[in-house]
Amino acid sequence: MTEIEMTDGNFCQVIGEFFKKLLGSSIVEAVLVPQEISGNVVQSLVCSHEKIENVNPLAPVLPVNSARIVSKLTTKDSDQKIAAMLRPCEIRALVELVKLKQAKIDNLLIVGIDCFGTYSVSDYVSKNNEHNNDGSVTIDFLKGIQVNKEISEIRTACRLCHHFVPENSDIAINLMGRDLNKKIVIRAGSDEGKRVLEELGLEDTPESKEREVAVEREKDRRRKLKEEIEKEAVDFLQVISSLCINCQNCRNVCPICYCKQCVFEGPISEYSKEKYLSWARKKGLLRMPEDILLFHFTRMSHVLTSCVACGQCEAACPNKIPLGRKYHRLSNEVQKMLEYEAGRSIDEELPLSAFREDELEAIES
Amino acid sequence: MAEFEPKIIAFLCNWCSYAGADLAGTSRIQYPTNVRVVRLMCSGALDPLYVYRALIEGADGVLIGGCHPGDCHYTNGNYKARRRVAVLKKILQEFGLEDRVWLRWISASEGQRFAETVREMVENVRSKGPNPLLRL
Repeated sequence: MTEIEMTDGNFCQVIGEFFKKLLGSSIVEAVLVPQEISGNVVQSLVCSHEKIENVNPLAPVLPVNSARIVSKLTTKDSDQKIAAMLRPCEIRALVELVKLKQAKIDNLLIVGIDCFGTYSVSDYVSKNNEHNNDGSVTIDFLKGIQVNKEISEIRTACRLCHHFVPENSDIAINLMGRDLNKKIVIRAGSDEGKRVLEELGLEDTPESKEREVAVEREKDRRRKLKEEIEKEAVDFLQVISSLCINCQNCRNVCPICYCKQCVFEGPISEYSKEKYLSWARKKGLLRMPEDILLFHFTRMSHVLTSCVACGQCEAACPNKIPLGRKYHRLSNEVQKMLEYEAGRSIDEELPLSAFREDELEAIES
Repeated sequence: MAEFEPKIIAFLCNWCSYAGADLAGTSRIQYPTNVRVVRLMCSGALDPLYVYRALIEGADGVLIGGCHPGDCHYTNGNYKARRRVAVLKKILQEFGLEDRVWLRWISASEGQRFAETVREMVENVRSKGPNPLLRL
């Protein structure tokens, strides 16, 4: 653990300095960091350290699940090492993508950070505009969090999330249990991380008690929130059949939905006029566009075992179908049933390609 | 009005359950005609999409038949099918349809068991009534 004292209370600058140092050390060729660009905070791939100007990994916004970006950057072989600053849900999705052979982490240094939740992109950008992009949205957000203020704009997926601490990172930036105005803590999460911190001349000291207490307190708070949110019953069938327009945005932004050609774009979902008419005859009327329900069923079957409940599907839905909370609950149930947890470990086998002889006996009717 | 006759789609594995159904036929065991059989090489080859498609197109029930645990012709396809069906049923639960999908292990020598399974399932689905998705 390395404690970095802050002189002027600007933690973003401190984290920026860390990345500059990392780039300067030639340990990595480039870094993937969230930076302020045109009033939003988005991932940027940076090779030269003077372009690390507006790093802000604490801005409460997650435009895309960056596991998708890491997948793009790493699927083709290369020896160049890069570092990526990721939120816990992004690291977990990345772990799943590695197991699905859609990303590689051999030449990747994962820098994780405690996550306090995010707003939707539009909420974040409009707040930021109101404040002339002066960075106060992030500061106000963190101040609110520190005094346990209930912030209603935080996305449902984030409010439900209990994986807000970065597991499986090489280097972790710890914020919980700290006064953010005074110091931030950078810890090694792996041998590789330890080596990097040593090379950067940053010392490693053990975990503090305050942090453990703060993490437990936060877990408790979220558990209560989760119970509240889950009380609101949603008739999913009703919601889908009235709100879904089959735009498939949920699929396009999902970090786990990785197929190069979705089954719904292939020939099995191209029908003749006669086929449509025969469906219409059978039911008297056919809801168009067709296959909406089949799409949702199939997407669930495909992703629930690896779903990390990042809620990007809900964020991308133009009609605000509460997919995030559905996927959160269902993926939890499915993964629990199969004694699996998405994003927990790179060594655990994907649950649908594994089995145990003595399990699920109740499934037989 | 005539009594509701459920329509059941059965996905049966080639090596056990399909042969079991065949045995029921050749042994002239009587069972309801509500079942339409689709032969698969293995219960592990069942894409959940087939089940969803059947339900959406109006099947009132779906029966999935595979070899008994330990007897799979491909060593472990039925174990994988069991996990897949478990996930599928969790999803269908969200829509109140989980009891319309049955997984049964039926061996090639169990013609009687196949006939009984169909009889049992038809009665069960009949008592539930038509597939509610039909109204969509």
